[in-house]
Amino acid sequence: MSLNYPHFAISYAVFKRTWLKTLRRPVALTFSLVQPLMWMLFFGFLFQRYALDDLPTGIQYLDFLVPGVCAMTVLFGASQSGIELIRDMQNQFLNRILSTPASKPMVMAGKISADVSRLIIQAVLVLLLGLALGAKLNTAIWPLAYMIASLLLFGVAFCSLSCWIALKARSQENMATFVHIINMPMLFTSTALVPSKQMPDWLATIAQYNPLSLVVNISRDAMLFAESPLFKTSLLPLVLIATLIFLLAALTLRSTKLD
Amino acid sequence: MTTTASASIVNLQKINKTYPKGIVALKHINLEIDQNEIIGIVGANGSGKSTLLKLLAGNLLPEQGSIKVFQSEVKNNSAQLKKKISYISQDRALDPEMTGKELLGYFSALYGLSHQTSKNRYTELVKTFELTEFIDRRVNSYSGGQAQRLHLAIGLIHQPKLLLLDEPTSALDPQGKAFFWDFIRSYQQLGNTVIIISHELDKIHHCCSRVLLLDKGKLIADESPDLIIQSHALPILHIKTAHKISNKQDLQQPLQQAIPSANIQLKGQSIQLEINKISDDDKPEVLASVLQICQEQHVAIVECRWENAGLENAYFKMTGQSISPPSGAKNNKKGQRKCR
Repeated sequence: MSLNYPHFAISYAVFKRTWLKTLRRPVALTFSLVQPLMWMLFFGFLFQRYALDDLPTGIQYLDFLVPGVCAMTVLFGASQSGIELIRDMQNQFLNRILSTPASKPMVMAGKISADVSRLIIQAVLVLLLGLALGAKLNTAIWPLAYMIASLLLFGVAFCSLSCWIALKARSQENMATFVHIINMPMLFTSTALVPSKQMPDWLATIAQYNPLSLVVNISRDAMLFAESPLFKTSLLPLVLIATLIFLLAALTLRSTKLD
Repeated sequence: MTTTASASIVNLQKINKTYPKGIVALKHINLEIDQNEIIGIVGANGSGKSTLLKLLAGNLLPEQGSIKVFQSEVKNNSAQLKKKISYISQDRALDPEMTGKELLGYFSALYGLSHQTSKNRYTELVKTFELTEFIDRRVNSYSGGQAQRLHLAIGLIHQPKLLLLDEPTSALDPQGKAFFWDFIRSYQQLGNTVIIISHELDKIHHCCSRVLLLDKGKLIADESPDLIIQSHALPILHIKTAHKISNKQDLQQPLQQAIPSANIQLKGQSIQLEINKISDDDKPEVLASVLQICQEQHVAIVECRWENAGLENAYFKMTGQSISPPSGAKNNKKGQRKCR
């Protein structure tokens, strides 16, 4: 990479294009908010009556659920990130991008940053919906910042994973299989919906190593108990996962063969 | 920009390319192309034309051989090389959800153009390709010709020194085609090199300094269009008779005696004489002899015409197959002359 090359202009152009296309599909954007709302309404009020072990009194299931649904929104949205790359492959647009001298990691950075920024906005909207439904959460600046930081890192990791799968799969059908295989097991083996102490031992062990649990736990600790995450055990693993998967996706884009 | 002296910018040595399942696309291609040339690549479908162009663009890599463009190995796929080349594919690689203006801006950024350069190029391309009317509309509302013009404009945003075009006029109307070929000539006059695949052989003849003829992956000719025609194409005299020719032997024999250099074919109501070494001055005399022989054999003639030697004729002669698509056959009558 030469230093005088306008790398950020490249990322900004890709960022802008990704956002333009998102805004031109208002129906898809709206439906992506309907799904978390339904989860909150159905799960939130269904399990509202059950007591959650080890939680201080006064914390309701809806309070517990909202940070989990915010993380779920990012997971579900991020897993779709690669679909746009497949569309670009199918109409040969990706070939055109690859034949330019633009740095491919910067192209990937523009794409991922646009998708992650959208997912963060969606997660914040879900949080506001949760508050509107009666969830009692700590919405001070630091808890909110910790939640957003963890969601951002998780979003980078999963958008990158989705893009990597898309570059390898090259078809919407294969991509749909990935989405189904990843999303549901990821959600149900995490602490997004249920605390790990109420899980069977084997599931609790899986949940402990599930990156979604990591994000949910950071968000929940911040939003329910105003606790700061431990960098070494909470944020650092997310930083490493996000960096590694992003590099994998960016390098795969760079080595993608043109048709 | 000014026209610069010729220098070799493309160098291919012993190139072999095979696709999966053993499909041989190119065999042992050696080629050198100078700066400031317009090169036409012609050949039947599947002859390896697009593969050759993709190899030059660095989109494909050969199994064997070396490809140098602007003195750099294409396989290194360097950013500097990509700034000098533009490969404009057959498929219009456009995002249907974006406007033409957005797409031009997007690729300006990806090619690293400064804001001012990008603005200047945008204005120039919109004017040159007459995009003003629809540039602010989304591409999914464009006609085929409009999309093709935008496709070409995007390919020129970074002012490539080497332009690789794969059937760029396929979606253009006759006016658009005429404009395109004029543009190609003016682009070459600025000191650039153009390599173009096209089935418009009359245009290739008039615009290109050299023609590469490909047949089943082999480069069977690399000469000026005039030289190819001179060496391989023969004028043909087409005669249509009123009735089916029954006395073929009685007609063939005197015709062959009168014009020994002719390859004569009699079929149904058609007589075709492919004549070697004949000048325009000799044609009336040959025609008179043929008409007289037909009269003597009581063969009534409905129509007769000369088909001038052309690239298609030469290609047919060299490969035994036609290269024009069926729809383009009607357009290739410019070299024909009615003598009735």
